[in-house]
Amino acid sequence: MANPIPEQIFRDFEQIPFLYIFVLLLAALVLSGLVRRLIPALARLLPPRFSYYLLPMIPIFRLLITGVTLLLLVPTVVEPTMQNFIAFFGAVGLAIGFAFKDFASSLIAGIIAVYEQPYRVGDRVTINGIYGEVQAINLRSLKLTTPDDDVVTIPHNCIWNGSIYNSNDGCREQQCSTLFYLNPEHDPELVRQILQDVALTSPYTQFSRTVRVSLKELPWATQYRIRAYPVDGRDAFIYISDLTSRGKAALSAAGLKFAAGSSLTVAVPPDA
Amino acid sequence: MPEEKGASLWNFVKPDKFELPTEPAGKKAHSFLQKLFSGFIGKDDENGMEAVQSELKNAPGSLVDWLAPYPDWKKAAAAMADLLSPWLEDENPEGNFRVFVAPYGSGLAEMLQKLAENAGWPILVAPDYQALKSRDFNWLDTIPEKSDLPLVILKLEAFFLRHYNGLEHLRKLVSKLFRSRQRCVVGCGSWLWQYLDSAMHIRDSFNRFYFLQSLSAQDLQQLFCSLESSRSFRPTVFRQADNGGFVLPPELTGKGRLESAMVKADSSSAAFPSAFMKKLAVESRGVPLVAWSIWRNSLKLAPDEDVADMAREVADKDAAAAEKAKTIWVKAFKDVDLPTMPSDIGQAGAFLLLFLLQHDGLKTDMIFDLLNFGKDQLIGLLNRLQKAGIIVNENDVWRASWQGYPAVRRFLAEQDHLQDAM
Repeated sequence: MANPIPEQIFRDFEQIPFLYIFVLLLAALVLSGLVRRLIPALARLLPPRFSYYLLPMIPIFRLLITGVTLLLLVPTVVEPTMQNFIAFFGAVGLAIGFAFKDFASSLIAGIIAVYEQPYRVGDRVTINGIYGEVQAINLRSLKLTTPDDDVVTIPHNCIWNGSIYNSNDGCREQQCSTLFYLNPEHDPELVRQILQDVALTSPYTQFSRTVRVSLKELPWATQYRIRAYPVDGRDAFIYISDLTSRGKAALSAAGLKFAAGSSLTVAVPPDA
Repeated sequence: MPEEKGASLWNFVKPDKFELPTEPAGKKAHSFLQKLFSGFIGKDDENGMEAVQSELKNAPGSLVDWLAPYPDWKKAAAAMADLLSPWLEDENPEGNFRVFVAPYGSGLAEMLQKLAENAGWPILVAPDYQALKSRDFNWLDTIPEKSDLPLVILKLEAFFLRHYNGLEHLRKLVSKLFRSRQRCVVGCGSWLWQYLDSAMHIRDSFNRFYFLQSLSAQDLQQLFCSLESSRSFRPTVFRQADNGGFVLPPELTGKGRLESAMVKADSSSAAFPSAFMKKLAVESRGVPLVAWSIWRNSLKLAPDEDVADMAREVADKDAAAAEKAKTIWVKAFKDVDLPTMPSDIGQAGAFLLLFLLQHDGLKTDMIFDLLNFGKDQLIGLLNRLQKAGIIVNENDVWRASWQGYPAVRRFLAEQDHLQDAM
């Protein structure tokens, strides 16, 4: 009986098909790049509502491409036996567990985020107090563009413990809230009607949702809040600016006085 | 429902009876397949007439004015009068408003103008722009006291501004007329109607409203024949330039004086309404002036035709009934040049077009006031859209061109903006 030859995990150097690996990696990179460019291009060609279905597919496609590439790649480097795979992935897992704990955590969170969808490409979210539009979902992190045009990279593992405020949750619409503070001495019905008309006559307003104006008495002012939806949620800040500037003009023209400290307008999540 | 009966061509119907001209499903599939395989399938049905088509020359404006003059709206006004008569005769009528809603390019204001002129009804004059922009409602005091004659509002657009003070003027107007119980006949464009319905549920304020029924291919054929017959004294044969087929029945043109036995025999075997009319009805959504404008654009003359002779013959009242009818060539519908939307006009362009439709045209200063965009951006947009033939400027008023209207409507639908229901 011959002595069992200890099984080696990796293939011999000369057995490894480097050209195949190179081509495979190149193909994966090209495919991934194509997905990143073609899907947004397609979304731009189609009516805007389709972008909310198309853009979230980017990370799913990229995850699939990465997974398939890995599945094809590993057997070219590792001897394809069950023990070897267990040993290989065990070792990789252990190394990652110790050395790249946070990295691995973000990777796994990224996979979960793709399926759970707390955010999708195109969503307007607030994560760790940062508000912005999700521009890209990569394997480890997502990229937000803030209203100031800053790009913020946030690792996916924020989903483990943090709260994520999603203003539109995959829909095109997003409620916008615009606040005005007026000197308390005025006719509230007149103000409500003026602010209602400010929203109703804005070109941005979406009419499938109701425009509401509510008021709250504060010790130093009467607060009015317009709650309305723009046609495209991406215009939230332009819409709020439009309502603010036209609202101020309308109230001033009607002879109404703002509270000391002027008017304030803020965008708040729908549930605030 | 006696109130819904009108003349055969002009019908005003309740909204649930409104129908758009449609292309049969089989035809749609056929045209889709034709487009798909256009590179592989030979063009059998053109009978080698492409060369003829390319040599045709444009019919001059004066001749087109004889062949397709602007409608006079008499019959439409008569249809309105018929519809309104039970309401007018009723001493205790249901509601004091009757509203007519029609899409952009329907000539609704002209129909109502004609109706008011014929019946001697007073027309309510709209306030000026500065009044509508302010919170000065004094103009409402100029509304005449209640009388037995109905008050006519030619177009509600003239009393409206999409401005934060604009809606209040309309509310006060409706409220005042409602309180006075003055009978009122109101015309409103479908785009403004849809907006007002979304913004202030105007259909609840006006208890009876009627939509102008879209014109079918048959209606368009009848309209164009009657327009041609209204001025032209010589029968005209309208033939399609790529296949020679009849576009309109020749015996209905030239005041029905066709005597040519050969043409009569040919036309008796042709199917009417023609394919051109069917396509025109679908593309124009049965809107009268949109279809009329495209129709005028598609008229051509043979290369050897003497334009002056042709114009003289058509206009010659004393000419004997024509043995030889005159031929006008009509471009195949696929070859009619219609304006297309310039690329990348973006959201500002969509808002501009939407505002033009909702106001039935705006002056330049009003555009600057109502839209919160830079003047340079708006000037650039106006120039680009005008160059593309999508909008026109007439008497300092910008409005969507009738031929450009189908493209505008499609563009706004793609952008998910509020659409009219017609």
